[in-house]
Amino acid sequence: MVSKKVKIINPVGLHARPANNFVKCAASKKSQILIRYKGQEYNGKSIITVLKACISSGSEIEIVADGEDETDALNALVEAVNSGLGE
Amino acid sequence: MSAGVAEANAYVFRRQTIELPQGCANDPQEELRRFYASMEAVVEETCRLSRKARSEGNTDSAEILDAHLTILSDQECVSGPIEQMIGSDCLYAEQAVVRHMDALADMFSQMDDAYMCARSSDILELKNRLLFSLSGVCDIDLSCLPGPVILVAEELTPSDTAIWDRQNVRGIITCFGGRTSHMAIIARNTGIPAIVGAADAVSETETGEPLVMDGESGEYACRPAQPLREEFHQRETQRHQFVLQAETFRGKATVSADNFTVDLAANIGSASEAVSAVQADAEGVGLFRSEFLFIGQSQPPGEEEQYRQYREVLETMRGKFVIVRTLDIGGDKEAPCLKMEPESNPFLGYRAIRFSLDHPELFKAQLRALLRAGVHGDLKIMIPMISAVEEMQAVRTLLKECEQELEREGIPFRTDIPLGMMVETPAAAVLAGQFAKVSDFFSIGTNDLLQYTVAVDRGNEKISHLYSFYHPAVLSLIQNTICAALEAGIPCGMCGEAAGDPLLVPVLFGMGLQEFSMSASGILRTRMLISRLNRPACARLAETVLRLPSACAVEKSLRLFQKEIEEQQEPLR
Repeated sequence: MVSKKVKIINPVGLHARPANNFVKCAASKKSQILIRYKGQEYNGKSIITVLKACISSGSEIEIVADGEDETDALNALVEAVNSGLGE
Repeated sequence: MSAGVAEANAYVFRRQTIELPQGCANDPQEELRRFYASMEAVVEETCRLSRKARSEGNTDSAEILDAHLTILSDQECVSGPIEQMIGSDCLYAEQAVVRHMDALADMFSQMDDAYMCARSSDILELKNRLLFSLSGVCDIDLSCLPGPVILVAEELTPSDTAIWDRQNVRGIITCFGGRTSHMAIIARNTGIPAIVGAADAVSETETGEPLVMDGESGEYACRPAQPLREEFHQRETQRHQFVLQAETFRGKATVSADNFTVDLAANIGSASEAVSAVQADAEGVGLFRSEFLFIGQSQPPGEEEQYRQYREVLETMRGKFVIVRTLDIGGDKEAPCLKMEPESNPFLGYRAIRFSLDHPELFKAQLRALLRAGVHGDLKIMIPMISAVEEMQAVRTLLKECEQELEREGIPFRTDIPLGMMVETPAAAVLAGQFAKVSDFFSIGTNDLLQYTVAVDRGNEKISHLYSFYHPAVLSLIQNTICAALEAGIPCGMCGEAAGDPLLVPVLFGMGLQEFSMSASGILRTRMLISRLNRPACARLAETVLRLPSACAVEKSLRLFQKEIEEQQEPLR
């Protein structure tokens, strides 16, 4: 299991198109993907769960990947978040 | 909603209804199989539609369809729970889909966020698509229309607009939907005239009937007689001419027929809107709503961030004046980053300057940012929601403190920034003479002044008929404010919708208003209007309406005046 903390930089937060792009990226990996935010865990492959988490711009989340491609998955997601998730 | 006049035969789009099976399913395995099959079919169809939309350059629809795909593939929250309901509750696939998707849609619609609410309609659409697939009923196909039509529907979804026969859609009328619905956005982006929220449209029209519609006014007519058709088209031509005529006032000063000059400014909410203000030929910014720097942020913006934004606006305006209103939060505007508690009567509560004075650290960061930005242009500071003279005095003391701090720290700032106030409480308007002694300028905020004067919550639709700028009581307060400013020799402006209202502009000009600040799109037409006005005639108009008993009577009188002005103009054309 690997994890890393990242800051959400796009102005709307993990919301709308950025949320969609995050989930799409997560779903393309074999590992289980979790988001830790404000002491709760959210399934990073479920768009509804991610939207419900209401993660706002500027907040910090921890991405956790667990599975055979965990390192690759974590790197890809961290990079996606840092590049603003297509916004 | 989406402007323009269209004329074509109606094509009424009535969605098929599906009968849900009743009772208990006796073969859960079979129901699961049907559910998987329908899921697969809908995913496949959505992929196809999204590709089609994208290849036709309809990216708005394609993006929405992509979002649908992500929702459909949400194992945890979408397919998982439905499978479980089918397995454990002996439900037909249809029943499980309806039950679960309705619950999800409900959850989203209750979230306090326009984006989330829109997801609710996405989920309901996916529910319907799954149901159609399960029942084998074919939906009407909009991809092949009988010729040029005006589409009339209860509602059109992104999947409808992804496949529709775009060339033949001349106009759209829907019963539901607001300004921010998918439909409205797509219509505006494609330039198709559209009316949304026309509740009776589907019941009043039949496919094949001739229709004429006006997207700007929201009017439409079935089987229109010749004169009515001509009127619709004539209106469109007139609007076009009006815009061209207003365009000739670009780059000019705002001067009345008898040579009085006033300032026309724009209301903005962000640095990027300053660019639109310049494009619209604004002579300044009469209201920069600084609260938009706070809304939607997880942390309140600090002094540096604010300084950067104010400076950007000033630089964009290139020496034209910019009036920044300090944080006006509360009422209907919420900023979660300020952690304000909900109140039972927020418009009369802890808001605007009341909040700022109670949070000196936050307020001083804003004042310091403003003082520093002042070096880069013609900046003025305006305080919202003032109801007591002491509040202005307290602000001035804080401002002095900030100046002294900056001086000590050796940071450059401007020393003579005018400090003015919004006149938006009846208290300030009635006692304007006293407030003029503690304020460097006034700007009348008509939206709040009106709601406080007539005691009407401006968001409450049941009493919206009482919310009228033409109420003589409000006009009388406006006049009192302008008079007090003139007597004290301080400038008086107005920001708020009334300042750009073509009926009210002559009255305000007649009362002696110096600066009119409105949404940028109204500037050129207001400049054209003022070029036709004479101060004495407008002053008489103001006197007349102030003696009238009701908003209705005032409006009537203003319409008459407007007609006179237009008629005088006729020979000049």
